[in-house]
Amino acid sequence: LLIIGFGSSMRGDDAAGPHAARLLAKKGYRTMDVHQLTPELAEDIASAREVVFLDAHAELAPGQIAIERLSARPSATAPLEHSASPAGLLRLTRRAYGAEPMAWLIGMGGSDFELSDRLTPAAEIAVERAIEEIIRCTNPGSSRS
Amino acid sequence: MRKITIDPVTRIEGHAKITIQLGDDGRVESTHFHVTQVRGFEKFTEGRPFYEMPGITARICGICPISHLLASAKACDAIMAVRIPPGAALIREAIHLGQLVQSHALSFFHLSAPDLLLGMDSDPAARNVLGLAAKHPDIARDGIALRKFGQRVIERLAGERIHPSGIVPGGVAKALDVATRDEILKELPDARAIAWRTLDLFKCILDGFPSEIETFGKMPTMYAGMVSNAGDLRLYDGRIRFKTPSGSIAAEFDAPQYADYIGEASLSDSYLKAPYYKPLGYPAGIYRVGPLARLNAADRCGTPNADAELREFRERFGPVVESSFHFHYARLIETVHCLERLQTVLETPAVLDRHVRARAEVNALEGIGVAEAPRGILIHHYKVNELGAMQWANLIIATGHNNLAMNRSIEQVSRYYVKGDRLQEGMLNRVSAVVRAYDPCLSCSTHAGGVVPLRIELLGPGGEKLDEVSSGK
Repeated sequence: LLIIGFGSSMRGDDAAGPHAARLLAKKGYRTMDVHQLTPELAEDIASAREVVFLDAHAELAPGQIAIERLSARPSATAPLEHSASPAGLLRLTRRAYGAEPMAWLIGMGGSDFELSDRLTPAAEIAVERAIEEIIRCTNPGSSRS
Repeated sequence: MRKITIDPVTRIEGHAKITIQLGDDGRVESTHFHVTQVRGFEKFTEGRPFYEMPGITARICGICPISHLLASAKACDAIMAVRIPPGAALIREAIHLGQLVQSHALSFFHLSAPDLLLGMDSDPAARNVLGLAAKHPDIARDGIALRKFGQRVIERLAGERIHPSGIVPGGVAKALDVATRDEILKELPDARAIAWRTLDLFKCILDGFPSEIETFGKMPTMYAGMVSNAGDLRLYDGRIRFKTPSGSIAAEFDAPQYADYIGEASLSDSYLKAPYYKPLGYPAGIYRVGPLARLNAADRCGTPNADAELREFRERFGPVVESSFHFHYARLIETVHCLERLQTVLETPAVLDRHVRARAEVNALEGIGVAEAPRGILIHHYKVNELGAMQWANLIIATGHNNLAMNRSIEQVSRYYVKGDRLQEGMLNRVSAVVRAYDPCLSCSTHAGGVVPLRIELLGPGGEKLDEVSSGK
């Protein structure tokens, strides 16, 4: 399992993804926390059987999380240039490396994306929920859908 | 008269549009390259402590923050009036070389290889890095690996891949340890193999672009780049050399003298200024910077394999290579040079020195720092008060130096490819591709951010829109 948290550390709740990834690293998970998704991550994704992307979500209710199963197949994502979407990265991984790990995106609802180096309490709750969900799903005997 | 607008230009960094004015006979009358956003770092940094400038100005760009960190830190070194420790200078150079490798890899593999390897007229829906990965997965993997190598160099030496904190006024924040140095040296052979493989590939496909070579900004201009006292290519530190279109040296000077030689014209239709060689005035003082200009300006690279490649380049295209299509070729030669030079820097014993930072207060009220960014010469010029608060800043960005040349290149391509009043996708792509050859970073040059889509509008004699083509949105 590879967990990739992404977002800007200078834009308030946008840092929820990297923050959650760092907390999960302390619990022993293989994680990466990055400012933005770039094509180079495809090499790391190709080496994983499962990938979870963690990202702040401005349209979710603050504190809520949403889990989305991702596919490398859809063609709706924009071409990769300097930065990428999770689905775009999965497509690049499939095409360049022939690898197609199972992948999920966990969106975490935030409320403040202005210049700031800290999360709002609501985003902190969303981070906790995302972490709990990952721990629950990765415990032996749990099932993922 | 009809006017075509390409807005925004795709697969470059930043926002831009191109307008092409057609005459009643459908022939191109004139073209203009407009950069459409402004950010204004010079203004909003007024009053900030000078030592914050590297961290602030690095945020101008996510592709080449190291260049801003270096030019800014050098300007701060000058304000402190310090000579940084030798080990710090070597570490800074190694970080810079890592950035050049990753940026050149991004430009070639991710942005321009779709044109070069899939074809200028190939299906635009697949003419991107995903299409490249589908058709040439081995080349896509090389691009990913080479860029990752450069980013890992930055991360290991400067702390973070993007916007690292390791380059500071007076030197660097952290000394280099043996284990980290050896990790990079261990990975260098694979990176070198990719660079050589890619250069060989490019040389093989080059004959497939005869028209592009002749029309992508093949024109006489001056060239500017940094060189050593012996005339070798210099990327971290050196004197600025201007060469004439015929290849003779027009001027060579230290960075603090830049204002004697470089003027900046403001354009009414763009936030991107148009620097020019002052002795010739505007716009006669048109010049180019970046990989092609650097190779034209320098006598040699100064590393064996890159020098062998440079000799072959000159044997094939002449002692002064005019076509901007060859920015791609020059970029790949520079990548070979950067990897060779990185090995030399890392094998220099002083790179492991423990003393890597000089500390001082304000000792001068003005400082100028210059570095060769991936796209060309980058100048940071600061004035401070006695307390070190910023009073004034001027940033002359690599992409800005090329503004006049990009405009002229767009005009040349458009005159060759654009015929009639209906737009063809291949024509749109070639007009964009000539801009991509320069690898402009418009976020840097105007201090504007974002990805770059493109739109072309065709306007009639009265300004009415006759046709429109968009991409990248």
